[in-house]
Amino acid sequence: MRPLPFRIRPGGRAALEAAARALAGRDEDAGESVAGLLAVTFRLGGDRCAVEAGVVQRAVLRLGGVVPVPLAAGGERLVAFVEERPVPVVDLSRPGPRTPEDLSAAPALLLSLESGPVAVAVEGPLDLSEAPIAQAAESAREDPEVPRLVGRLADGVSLIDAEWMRRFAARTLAP
Amino acid sequence: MSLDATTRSRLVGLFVDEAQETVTSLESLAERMSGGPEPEALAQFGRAAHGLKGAASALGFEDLAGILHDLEALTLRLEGDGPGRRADGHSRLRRAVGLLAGGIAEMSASGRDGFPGPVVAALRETLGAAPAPANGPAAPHGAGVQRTEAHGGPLAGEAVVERLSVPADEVDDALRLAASLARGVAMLEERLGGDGAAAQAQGLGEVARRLEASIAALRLLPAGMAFSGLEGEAEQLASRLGRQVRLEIQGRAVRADRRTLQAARGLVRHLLRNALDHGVEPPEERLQAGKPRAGRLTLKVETAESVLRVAFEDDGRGFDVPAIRRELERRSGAPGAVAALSDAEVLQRFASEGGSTRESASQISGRGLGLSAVAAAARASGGSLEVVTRRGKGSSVSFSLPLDVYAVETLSVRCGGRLFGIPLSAVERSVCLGAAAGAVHQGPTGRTLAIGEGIVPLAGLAEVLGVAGAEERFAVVVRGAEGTVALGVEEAGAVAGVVPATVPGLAQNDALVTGLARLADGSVLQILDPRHLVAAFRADRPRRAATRPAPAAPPPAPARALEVVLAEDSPATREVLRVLLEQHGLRVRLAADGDEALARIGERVPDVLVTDINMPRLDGLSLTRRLRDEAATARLPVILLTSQDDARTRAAGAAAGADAYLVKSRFDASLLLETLGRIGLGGRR
Repeated sequence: MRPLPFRIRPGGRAALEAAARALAGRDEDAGESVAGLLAVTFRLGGDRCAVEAGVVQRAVLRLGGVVPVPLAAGGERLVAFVEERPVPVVDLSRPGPRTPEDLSAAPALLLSLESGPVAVAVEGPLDLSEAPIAQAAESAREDPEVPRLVGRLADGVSLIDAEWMRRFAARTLAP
Repeated sequence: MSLDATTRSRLVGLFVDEAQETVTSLESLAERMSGGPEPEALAQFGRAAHGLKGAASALGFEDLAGILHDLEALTLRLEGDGPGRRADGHSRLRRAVGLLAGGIAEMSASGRDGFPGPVVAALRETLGAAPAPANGPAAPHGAGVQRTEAHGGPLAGEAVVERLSVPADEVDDALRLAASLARGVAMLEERLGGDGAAAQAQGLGEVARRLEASIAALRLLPAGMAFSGLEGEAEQLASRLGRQVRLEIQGRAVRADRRTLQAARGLVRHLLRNALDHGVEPPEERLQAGKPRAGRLTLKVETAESVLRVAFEDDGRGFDVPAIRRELERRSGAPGAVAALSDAEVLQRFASEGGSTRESASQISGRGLGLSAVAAAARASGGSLEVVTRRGKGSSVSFSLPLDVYAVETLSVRCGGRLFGIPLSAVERSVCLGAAAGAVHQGPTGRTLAIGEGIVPLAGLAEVLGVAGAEERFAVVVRGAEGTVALGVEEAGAVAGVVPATVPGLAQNDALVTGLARLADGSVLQILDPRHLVAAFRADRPRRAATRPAPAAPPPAPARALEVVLAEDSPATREVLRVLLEQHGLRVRLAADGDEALARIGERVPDVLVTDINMPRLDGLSLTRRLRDEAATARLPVILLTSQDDARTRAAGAAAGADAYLVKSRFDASLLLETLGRIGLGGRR
């Protein structure tokens, strides 16, 4: 693996957020000048996973204060405040959704959907990595509940399809 | 319309903002239409041009208003043109929109009060319109000048006011932060108490509050300011049409975000023009109809939590529903389908589709686009529109728009360990249930709470919201559109003013929680919508009653007219009530006292008992208790109808097991029907 353009110490929240902001705002040329894929890494069910950093608006180290909001149609939607704005939360963790209390301590990736931002809760630690794609996954029939892999990075991390992640969030939030 | 320079400058600023949004929309629609016939885009284009025309005219930009009228006319002609002429028309339309965008951008950049004269000339040429006559069109509304710049400079004596364009989201963030800071400092002040640092905290608190107010002022305008000048505009327009009117604006102090109020002002302008052109009669006609010479227009503005509600009323002719019906029949080609519609449905459809019963269009209104523009704008933003009319008496058009940002005073309550805020405007009172235990009764249709003015249904807020939590130490009496209910909560705490933020993706239409606010201590307050809360309470009440253990539940009744046993000892009152109830589709069996009522119920258990209290032999309270003791009638809904209007009798009624308490002096059939609805019998008449 090449030296990383951004190496964030686990727990270095300010640095990670600054790097995530830089990544979210990077221009096309800057992305191309670095070999390999810039990705935000995390864990799902203990497995190391990653998603392309360009789709992540913000990496949130700890959601903090996740509250369930009751819906008129029944059921609830989980909401957390990210930078003073409430955003819906969906849980990508395996094997299943966690309680609001557990999610309050969880990290999340802020993605942009048509309806607005959504926080996709994952398992930590969050990190930023750059590695070439070692293997591309063959296209498989999409299972809405199982993260769709698009490949594997050279360091063995499973690369999750960012579009699948968006669709998962949109499906979970759909009334 | 005589305006001071500051007000005029502010209104021009609002106009430029609105014009920029409209032109962006026109550009996008013109682009859509370039690919081929797009009737819907064409209609939207016409509506948008029509809306901006009204705004331009209101500020005295008559040349621009005339151009927009021509642009609107061009879109209407395009509907019927063949391909060749259509291509030419579209080309002119796109050029005109480009010129319009340039002119508005120039106004915005320069801060000048006037649409650039050279752009007017270029637009006239593009649209093939005649140049303005040498003596110009009619003088604009009270301004006394034609607000088109001939020389590209500001009009003499008018100050150029610098305007800043700031993303609204950023101002909203700043406002929420300032509100949070102000709350935090207030809490700090309380905790410091008489400590030496308290004075410093007070000073800091004052700064925080001023900061909050200052940022709020950037986003939240009083409605009076947003609608300023409208009275003069109404009088001027009326005068041009040979009418006299007086416009009254109610709710001037209501504060709402600038964008929503600005949008509302644009919509109200449509309604004003419609009312003056179609509704309000000329003075002589009004006098003949026994009305005052001057028409009365009323604009009512209010905010209800996250929604701005605006009602525009006039006392004119009212809508000509038969003519509208004929027009819809003609247009639809399916007269049978239109004939089956109620008058209200006809009006709603007319409002949605647009159109006019007039044969020619005027520059004021007359194409019927105004009402449809209002309906389309309200719907597009998640709001609604309602039209009510009485022929010869006037009409009322109400619309609602969701607010971008709003401040709300809430009563915070705790339920299931979570913190909810109920808007104070909907809270009638809160009751400590420990001190009022005798006022709570478990009836056949659920729990009720007897309070000073009546008996209201009671349920836990946790039950209504579907969240865990059973402890109820307080009841909060909340008023919604569907009535008043009492909600049991763990704690009823402080009143807090907050600026909630909406949650992206949460449905606006029937959301129980309209927004969230983070308090200074980090806790999250979920702001409840009282209307939807009460609706959810009512919708779920039969289920809650059904899940309650009951000795012998009667089988579900087949769909048929609701049967009432009416117990009343006064023959005259009994007869009046019988007629009233039967007129509303209920089947009535009569009883002269409690004993007779028991006999009637013994013959066949009715759907509901309506009973007086003071009756010979067996009074209404004893009758109710006897029924509750019998398995077959333990769940029979009982409504007490009495002349006694005191708290003690009300409490006795609730204790006896009555489901509702009505006072004869305030009784009418609609109140009874509403009560039947409240106790779960509303759909069965």
